[in-house]
Amino acid sequence: MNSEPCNHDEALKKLLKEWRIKSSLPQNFQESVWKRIERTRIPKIASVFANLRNWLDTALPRPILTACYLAVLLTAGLTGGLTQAHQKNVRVKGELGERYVHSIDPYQARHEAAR
Amino acid sequence: MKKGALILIFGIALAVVAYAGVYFAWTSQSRNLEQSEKPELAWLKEEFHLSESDFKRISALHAAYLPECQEMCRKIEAQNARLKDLLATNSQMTAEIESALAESARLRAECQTHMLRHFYAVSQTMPPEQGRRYLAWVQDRTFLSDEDMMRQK
Repeated sequence: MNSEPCNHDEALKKLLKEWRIKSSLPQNFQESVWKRIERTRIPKIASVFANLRNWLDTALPRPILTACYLAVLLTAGLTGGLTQAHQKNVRVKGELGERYVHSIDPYQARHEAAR
Repeated sequence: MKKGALILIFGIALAVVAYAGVYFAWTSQSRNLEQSEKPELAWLKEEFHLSESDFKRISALHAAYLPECQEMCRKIEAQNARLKDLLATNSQMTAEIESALAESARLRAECQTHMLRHFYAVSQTMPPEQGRRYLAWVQDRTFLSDEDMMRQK
């Protein structure tokens, strides 16, 4: 019962060994394959931009979303400005305090000059 | 331009303007201090809430103390150079090294006496509460400073 598929395999193997491709590949075959791959890629990138533009044109102008977007950016700007300003104020005060100490303590003034 | 893009750009511009506005407004005092003629004294005025008349008296005390301080600096430098030479030329304890060490200690005590006298004079020129705060602050950074102790080791 099992001998029949084996015979088929043998026949197939023999046939594959005898098989020769007579026709040659068309000219610029590889190039045209790469071009086709490129063509499939571009629409994907374009579709990302299209979706973004679509979102900008349709979703962002909705009043509630506009208000949220502007509120978030305003808060981010204010928070960033306050944080940076606070850091600068602390740094400047610390530096000026040190400068005052260096101006009145000869030992610290001497080490400052040596730096 | 489409409405969405305009909102996008407006939002970003709003964030930048908010950042810059807050930053420049909140750092204006620091900028004024840095750009003043004597930034360290301007800082002292602001930090210890000095009135204009107190500030004038403290500036005068500071100006009078500076030559004393510079003279002390010069003496310390000279004494340190002498001690350095002695340590470089001797491989054991000598009477000269002992004398130089004693002189360094005397100089340090003299320097601290001058400083303390100045600190008391400045603190007495301030309102009492600020004067106490100034004394605690300045003593912590000079006499009781860890950094200073590390340098002496």
